[in-house]
Parts: sequence; C-alpha cells; structure tokens
Amino acid sequence: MTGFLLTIGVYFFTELILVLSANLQLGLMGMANLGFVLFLGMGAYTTAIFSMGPATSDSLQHYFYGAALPFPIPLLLAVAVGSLLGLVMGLIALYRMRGHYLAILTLAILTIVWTIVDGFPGFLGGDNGLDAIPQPLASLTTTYESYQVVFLCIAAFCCVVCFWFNERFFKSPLGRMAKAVRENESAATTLGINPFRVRLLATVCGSGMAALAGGLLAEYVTVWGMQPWSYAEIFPAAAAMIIGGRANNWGAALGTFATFVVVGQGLGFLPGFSNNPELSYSIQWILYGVALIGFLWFRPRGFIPEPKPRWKRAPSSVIASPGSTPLNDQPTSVDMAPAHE
Amino acid sequence: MSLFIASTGFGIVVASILMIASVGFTLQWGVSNVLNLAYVDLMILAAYLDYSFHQQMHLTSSLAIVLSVIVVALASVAFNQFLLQPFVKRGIRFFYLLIIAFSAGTILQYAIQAIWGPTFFNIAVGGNSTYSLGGLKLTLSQLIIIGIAVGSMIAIHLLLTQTDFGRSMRAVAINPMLAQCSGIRTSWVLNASWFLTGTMCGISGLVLAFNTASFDVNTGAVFLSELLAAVVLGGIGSPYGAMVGSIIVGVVAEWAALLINPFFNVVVALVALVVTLLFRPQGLVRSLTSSTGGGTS
Repeated sequence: MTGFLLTIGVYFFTELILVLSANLQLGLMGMANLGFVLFLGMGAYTTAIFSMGPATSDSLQHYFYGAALPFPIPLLLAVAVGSLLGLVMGLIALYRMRGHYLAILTLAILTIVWTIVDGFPGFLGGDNGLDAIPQPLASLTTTYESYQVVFLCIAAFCCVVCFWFNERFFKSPLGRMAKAVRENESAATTLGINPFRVRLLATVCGSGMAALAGGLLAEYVTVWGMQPWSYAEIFPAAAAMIIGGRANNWGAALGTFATFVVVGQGLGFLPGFSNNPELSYSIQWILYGVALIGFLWFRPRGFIPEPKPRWKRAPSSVIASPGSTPLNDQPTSVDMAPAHE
Repeated sequence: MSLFIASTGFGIVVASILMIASVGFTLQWGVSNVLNLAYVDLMILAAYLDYSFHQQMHLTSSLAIVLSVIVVALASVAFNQFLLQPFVKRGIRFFYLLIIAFSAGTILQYAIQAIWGPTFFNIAVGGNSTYSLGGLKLTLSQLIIIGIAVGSMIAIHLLLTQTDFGRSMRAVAINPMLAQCSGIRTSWVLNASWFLTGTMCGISGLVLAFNTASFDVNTGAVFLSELLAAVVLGGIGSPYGAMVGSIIVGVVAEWAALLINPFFNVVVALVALVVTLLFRPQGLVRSLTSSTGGGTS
C-alpha cells in the first residue's frame, strides 16, 4: 500500500508539471496551443538518449545517438531541448496564427512529428519504444520502496520549482501583460505591449516545463513509447486545468488531483470495475468529458477561480461627499496598480 | 508505371471519401463557426450502427445504411441544439467551444468502446470483380463510392446556389445577425444545416468503413489529419475549396505513400496544411459561405 501511494505521488507531481505548462499557455495566455504534449514526448526522448548510452547490438533497441550522462544533466538537457523546440514552434506558429488556426496548426505539427517518430524505428525507437531507461540515483538505495521515496523527492522538488516559477510569472508585470493580451489584444498593443513576444515567452517556458515532466515520467517508468504523447493526451491535461480553475496554479493542483488521482485511480477500487480494466478505462475518459462539459456549464471558472486583480479604491469620502471636486481630478485607473493578494 | 496508376486510382477513391466528409465539415464550420472535433467520432458511430443493424439485428443492408445515417444526422442536430447552442447563447469563447467538441468526441469514442468493445470490426461489402477504366482498376464498391461522391457534390452545388435553404445557409454563415434581421429563422437554418452535414458525416463514415478492411474506434482519429488538411487547403467554409483540397490531399498522399513510405501520406497532407496556413490562410478557393473564412476570434 505504501508503494502504491508513493507511485501515485510521483505520478501526481509529474502530471502537475504538465498541467502547469498547459496552465501557462492555455490558461494565462489563452492560446489554443494544443501542441504541448509534443514537448512532453521530446523531453522524455532527450532524457532517455542522454542517459542510456550508445545503442548496442545486443540491446535490440535502435536510436540515433546515445550518451550516459549523470543524473541531473539529462533532465536539464530535456528542459533546454524542449524550450528550444518550443521557440522554433512559436516562431513558426505564433507570428500570424490566432484562434482556430493556431489550434489546427499546433495539432498538425504535433501529428507530423509523432508520425515521423513512429515511422522511423531507427530514429527514436518508433513503435517499439525505448526501454531500460536508467533511473537516477539508483545506487543510493537498495530496496524498491526506499527508491520510491527518493524519486518522490526528485519529482516533488521539480514540481515545486515549476509551481514557484509559474506563481512568479503570473504575478509579475509579464503575467499582467499576458492577461492584457488575452483579454484584449488590440488594447494591449496600443499600450505598447508586443503580443507576439509575450506569447513566445510563455510558449518557450511552457515547453521547457512539459519537457521536464516528460523526462521525469520516462525516468520513473523506465520505458517510453508513442502512446504517452499522442493526440489524445491533450485532453486530460486540459481537463485538469479547466476543472481546477484556469490561470490559477492552486486550481491546477486541485484539478490534477481530481482527474488523475481521484478519477484515474479511484475507479479501480469500485466493485465491478476492478476486474475489468478495459471498461474502467473507458468510463474514466467518459467521466473526464462529462466533468469538463459540466464544469464549463455550471462553474466555468473552475474549483478555484482565477484571482481577480484588486484595484485600490480612491478614499470613499472623496467620491461620496457632495460638492467635492469632480471625479476628473482623481487618478485614472491606469495609475492604480492592481494588487494581487 | 502500373503501380503509379494503381495508386492514383486508390487515391481517387480516398479523395472521394474525403470529399464527402470534408464538404460536410467545412459547411458546418462555415455556418456555425465551430471546429467540431467530434465529427470523426460521429463518422465512426455510423459504421458501428450499420454493423449492429445489419449483422446483429439482421435488417436488410439498405435499411441498415439509411437508419444509421439518419441516427447520426439526428445525433448531430442534437449535439448542436442541446450542447453547442446553449453555450453559444452564453457568449462562450471559441477555445471553450473547441474543448466542448473535443469532450463530446472523447465521450462518444469511449462510449463506443465501452459498448462495442475495443476489437476490430468489418462491414466491407461488394464482390472482388474489378472494372478497368483506362488503366485504372477499381472494384464495384469503389466505383459506387466515387459515384456517391460525385452525386452528393452535384447535389450540394445545386442546394447552395439554387434553393432558398442554400441561400439562407450562406447568409447565416456570413452574418447571422443580418440574416435574422432579413427574416431568416437562424436557429432553424442552423439545425437544418447540422442535419445536412450530419447526413454527409454518416455517409462518409459508412463509405470509409466499406473501403477499409476493418475499423475500430481509432479509425476516425487517424482520418482527422487528412480531413483537416483537405478543409484548410481548400479554404475554411468553402465547399468548392474542400472538393479541390480533397482531390489534392487524397491523390498526392497516395503518391507519397508509394514513393517514400506508407507513413508519409499523413505527413504530406499535414505539411500541405501547415504551408497553406502560413502562406495562404484563406485557402485555394475563395469562400462561398463565409466572408472571413471561418474562425477569427
């Protein structure tokens, strides 16, 4: 049971990193960037080939390059590669595309890369996938359960770093610029904000985060293939983000807990589902869909809504007292800085 | 060379299936401004329904075909009337509409999997006798598919240009408010056009399943890439563009599969999509149903 809980903890933290990445791009920025799972896959492959060493003929695996680097370097490289690919995709997609067009374009880029990786088994393992990806710091412990604790600490540390980064991003002037671009792009442009630059920055950071999630997942499961980063995997991450509360990191955490842990793992405990994995898998995905539509109808802002910027009010005596100076003399709303809690 | 001609013939068949699907998809998008990702799942639902009606309930094949197409068309209308329109009336952002369509598609896909099971099914019809048309060898069912495609394209053209319903559909696509002011019952036109596109969705799903040896719930998701490519290449909201786009995507993708690698038919279609979006986002053919070319938010 302890092992099960530890496993769920690791999955929770890695999925939360992915949901935070989605929250940055889809939630805060409001971009319909559906390509974020591409970077999950790329991060996982980068981590794998930089920690597995060169392919040997007796391992029956094929990949184009390999190196055996010590623990934190493959993950850092994954973040670097993910951010770089995010930059490339952002430069291609974000300059002119909005709305539906951006959604289709990112979906197309995801499917192109997915199909190419699938079609060339010698490139990154293709449909056979990669296995025996070494686990980091495996020499520290001897038993299975104590190693789970070690990995949980690694995942929790990465997750806390990403969470902190997101919180800083959301509350910084950059985050306010992002919200301005999301709410009214033309108005933001007239205030001197370059929407393309803000979108590109969010995409690069979000892609790096998704790549980190992929790297951790690959190192934990020790195998990686085509399924975990396919088109369908966009859906649970977006569901977790919207159910929890768009553009709110605590909401993302709660949404991840609700979708991946309660619905994802809880169904297996119900009688009738425990011995029918096919049916419980289908029911799980149906529940995701129903929950999403239900939340969008009844509570569109999610469990924990996005914090509204609170404006410092002018002293009430000035506004309310009759015969005082006209309101034109009051500072305009542009001068009043929004104060987050 | 004979291989090349054979793959051209196969490409024409794929283009016919794609044409029926993409004209319905692009009309739906143009009229109601919704990127309906559930479309491919409704297509596959038609194939499953036909399997159940014909092989489990032992109805005659023509009755099974008609019934399954009607059920899919009604499901499409219900999807619009009871799920999309309430949200649209609330003034929801396009991104959430995309998510709702994605959710509905996922629910449908996994409901199909829960009911019928994850295995492969087969509803292929027609004998193996082939007909030779100037070097192209096609089976009877493939000829029927091409015939259905040509017939429905002519019908769509006549409907859009000659009838009141077609003209009001185009009016609603270009400016719903103005159409309503001119006395068009927009909600009725919307539902009717969803019925029409739902019918095309059902037919395309059936011919897709007739043409492949076996299908499962993921057949639709695989088809989605080529469908989107054909629609975007032709210009969003433009039925004639979708016809041209389907022919290009269908035939060129089969040539790519022959010349390079079978995996490459999807890649070629999607690269065409990306290039079109980046350099000519209005598509090849100017839109008939929408002045702006679909989603602009």
